[in-house]
Amino acid sequence: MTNAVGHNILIAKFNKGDQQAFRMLFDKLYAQIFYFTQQLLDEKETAEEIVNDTFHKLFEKYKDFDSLPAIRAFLYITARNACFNYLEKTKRENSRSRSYKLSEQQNEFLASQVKNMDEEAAQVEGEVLKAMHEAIETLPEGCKTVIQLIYFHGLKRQEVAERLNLSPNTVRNQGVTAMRLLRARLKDFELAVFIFIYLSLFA
Amino acid sequence: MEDKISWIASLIIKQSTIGLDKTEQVELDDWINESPENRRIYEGLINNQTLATKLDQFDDAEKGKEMAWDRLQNRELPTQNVRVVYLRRWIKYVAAAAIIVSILAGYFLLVKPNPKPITKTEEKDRYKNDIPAPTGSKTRLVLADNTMISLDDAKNGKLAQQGNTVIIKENGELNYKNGKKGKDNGSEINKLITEKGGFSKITLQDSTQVWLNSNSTLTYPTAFVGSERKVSLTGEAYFEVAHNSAKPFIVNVNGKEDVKVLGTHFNIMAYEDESEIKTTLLEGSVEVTKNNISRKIKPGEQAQLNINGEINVVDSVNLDGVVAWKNGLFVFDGEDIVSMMRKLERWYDIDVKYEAGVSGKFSARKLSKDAPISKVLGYFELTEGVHFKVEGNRVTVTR
Repeated sequence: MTNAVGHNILIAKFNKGDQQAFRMLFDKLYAQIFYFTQQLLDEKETAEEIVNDTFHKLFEKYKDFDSLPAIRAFLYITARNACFNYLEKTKRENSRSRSYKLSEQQNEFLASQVKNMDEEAAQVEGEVLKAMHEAIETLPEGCKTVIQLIYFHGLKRQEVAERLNLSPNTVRNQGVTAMRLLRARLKDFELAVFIFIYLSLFA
Repeated sequence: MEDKISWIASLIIKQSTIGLDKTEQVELDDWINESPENRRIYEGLINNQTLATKLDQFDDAEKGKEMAWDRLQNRELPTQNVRVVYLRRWIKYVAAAAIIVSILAGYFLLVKPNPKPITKTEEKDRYKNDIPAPTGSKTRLVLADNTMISLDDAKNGKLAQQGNTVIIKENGELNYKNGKKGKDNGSEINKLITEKGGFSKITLQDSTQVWLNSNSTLTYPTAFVGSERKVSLTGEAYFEVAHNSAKPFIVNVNGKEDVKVLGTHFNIMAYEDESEIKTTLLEGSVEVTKNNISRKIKPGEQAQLNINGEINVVDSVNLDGVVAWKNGLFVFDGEDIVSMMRKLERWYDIDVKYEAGVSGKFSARKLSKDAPISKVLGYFELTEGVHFKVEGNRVTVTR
């Protein structure tokens, strides 16, 4: 319940131009939009610029949104359109000059990816990754490092033990604790979402 | 459906943690079948290898967030920024030309827009000062002869010897170790006392570890002789009891109840200003006794002793919320404002007043305890619609 109330209050403050609300929305959604844009363009710098522009546009229209799904959809669609425009622009530049930023093939491929991009699916992926990331972030240091090494860097337990100078048993225990905590935390996440949905439907 | 996307995301997560029931599984399957994109995304998320890569990339994205925010701040923001307003007016009256453009560029570089978000002036008035997080352990040790040792002032190393037991301070923690086997096999009573804003960890002579929260007192013997290991607690502590089936470990709480354990991890919250004494079990097994009535609890359960002397057992407790204090975090779990402010009171040593009509239940994912009070209060002002005034040590809660 508090999640729904919290979101409503956040949006209300956002509509009034409250700076802290801007910051909170940014914290909530930045990584998803950057991840999404980077996937589309397969490079960082332009992605950074596009994400910057996208949030700037959002903040200019602070009066126009009445819900978090609306804001999220706006960000994804705006970013996608910007990616498409960028690819079109480089295609035109490519055909004019000889120095290609992207080869024609790459450009075609990426452009078709953007065209086919379904922002609903992309948003779902973004929300799942955000929730998992938050859950991992709240792990105690030792567990977090172990989980990151195993899941992010694909190290085996023995390699992790060597890298962190721990016994393999300790690494296993950290991993077990981490999974237990993650399961508990992820349960909280969807519990909050369930209550939110329940209230939206029946309240 | 208000937020279909969050719903589907939660189904995917639920499927990989506790599983879905029939209806939910059908809903998810329908979504997956709605489009090939949906299926592609779903399969990417349930495959551990691809998921790991995605999480890694997402983590990188999060890392760039601060810098991205700063970059965004250095653009115009649509709020009352007086300097930007003047700039806009000036630009209107100037014709566009190469030289003018470069003057403008120079001006932009010189005029730094406000780097931090502007807080509303009314907020500045309500916070006359800030209260920083406490530093040091704010703990003192009282020996059997009433000698008092302040842990913050004491140096690392051997602090004292009580009979055969040596008291050592290392890394800010206390450790009671068996000394060389002397003739003296006796035991004396010591006390560990934390003030408001305090936090301490001690290893007892039997290797039991105890974390002590603010405003708490642990009374314990320097050595465990006899058939039981007995300690007393007022306030809050988290125990990891060393296993010894021959000698049960018993915590007498506020003089009101006994918690008997055999080798286990549990948290006891027993502040005088709380209406219940809460014993939460994480691992192992404990038995809570009051007036000859005992209740055994299992991991994940919490025994609540109320003022009528009744023990209620609650399951599905948020374990991380219960021990968050020990990990340097605030986690408020659907609590009312008064309960939340009591926790802040103990940590920041403040005096709290409430204006009429303040209500609501609050929860937070995690907030660091190592932060000035304005950060914690600011979070609740933003998300829950209460407001606070801070003046000196006094915090007033308003609507």
